[in-house]
Amino acid sequence: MKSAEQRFEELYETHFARVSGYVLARTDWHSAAEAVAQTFEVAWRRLPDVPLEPLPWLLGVARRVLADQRRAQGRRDALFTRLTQTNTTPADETDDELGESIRAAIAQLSPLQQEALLLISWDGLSEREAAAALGCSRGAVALRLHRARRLLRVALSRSSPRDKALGQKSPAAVPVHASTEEHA
Amino acid sequence: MNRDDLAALVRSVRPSDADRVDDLFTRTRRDELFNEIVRTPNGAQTVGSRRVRPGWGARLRAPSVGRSRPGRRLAMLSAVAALASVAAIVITNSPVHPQDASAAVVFRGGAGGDVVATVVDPFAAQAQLDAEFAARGFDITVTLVPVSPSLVGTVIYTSDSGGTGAIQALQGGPCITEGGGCPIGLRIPANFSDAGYITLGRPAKPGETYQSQTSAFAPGELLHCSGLLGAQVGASESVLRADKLAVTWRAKLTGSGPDGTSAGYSASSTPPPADDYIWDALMTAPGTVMIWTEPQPWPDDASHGAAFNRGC
Repeated sequence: MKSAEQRFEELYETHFARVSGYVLARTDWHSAAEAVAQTFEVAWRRLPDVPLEPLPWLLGVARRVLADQRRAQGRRDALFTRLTQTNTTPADETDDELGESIRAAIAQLSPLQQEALLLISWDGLSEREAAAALGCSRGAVALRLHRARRLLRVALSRSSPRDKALGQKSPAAVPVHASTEEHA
Repeated sequence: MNRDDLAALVRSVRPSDADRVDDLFTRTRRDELFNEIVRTPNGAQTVGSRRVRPGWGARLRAPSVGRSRPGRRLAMLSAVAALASVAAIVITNSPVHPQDASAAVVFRGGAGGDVVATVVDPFAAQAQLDAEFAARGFDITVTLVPVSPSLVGTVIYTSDSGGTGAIQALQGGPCITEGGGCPIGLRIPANFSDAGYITLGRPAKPGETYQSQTSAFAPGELLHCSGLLGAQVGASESVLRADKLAVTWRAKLTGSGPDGTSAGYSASSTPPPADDYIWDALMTAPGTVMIWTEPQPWPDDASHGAAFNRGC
């Protein structure tokens, strides 16, 4: 049987990069270093609670660590800040105008819609894994994703040159409003 | 714009420096951090004195009511009986104070002076639940949210103003949840002085959507023992029609997304091919179900499979 330290080492080595990537995508470097350290410290202290599929659990911890940092520092939402930073280098060759439109559209989503969308698009989680990370049901994640994508399509159809370039029809207009389930 | 285009656009704005993990944590720094962490004690003995204080909400769930088909009633009654027996054990287990017979929450002493609370009446008014915690000196606010049938009466979420995760969920119910366990009680440190927040599951009112749910095939849920788990879509119509369910089909899409992740699932009220297989289902509201299908047969050894068919 593995010792606690062996089990933690396996967890640490396997998931360090994914957890760090999650945190780095959402906050500045200084805060990220602290958040990653705190996340794995929690994992060590709560090792008996870590499930067989640890990654969603770890990202759930990291998410809360970041939230605590934001509360402690009295900052605006770090992800929003990150999304609206103009000096952030996009991963692809997305042109500045389009990238700005996308970031602005994502920033307009509710925090829970953002998290559901980005856990899947940025962090490569499945809906089930995202649900575990967010501490909600898969149905709730599916609903948030559906709404997030719908709102993004609407927002981008109003501002994005990509649709025009692709010659695609703009989606039908739908009401843009906060969903009633997002406060839960 | 289709889903793949949208996914590619969203992924394109992921900050590229998020991949520079090795720059932030060199191998040496990573090893130092590891050694620093494992030098501290781990496990339950550190509760209440932990250095790291993340906001922490355990994800929880659990069992009971409502189904119409006689063939499924036995399983439902088993789930309810199991929950009742858990409650009975708590009630006879040396309460901290003499307990009012009409109490909605049962309190008893736990290890190290902690208080163990079990909600025995999830139908009680929210104010009554708050008042019973307040009577024990706890500033704990209880929120009741609509949940799918098997989760009624269970703990859905806990948090505290200090972000310490001090309020722990206690498993023991018969329900099956995606997160594992079936939380039906709470352990509160005797010296807990922060504000606490507890969310419990209650039955949904007409027109409400569930804020938490587990698989529709789990014991206590509408499609438990329906025979649909692993069945082909074509064979499901009569069952779904008999239950008057509005269905959203989530059919597995083939290929992969532009970012290399799974292409995901479609969402449509039109059934997928009749020879596709049902892999999972969630009730999103009374009378409304979301069903996941894939072209491949559902594997018998899929997680929770045996448990889902318990009592059938």
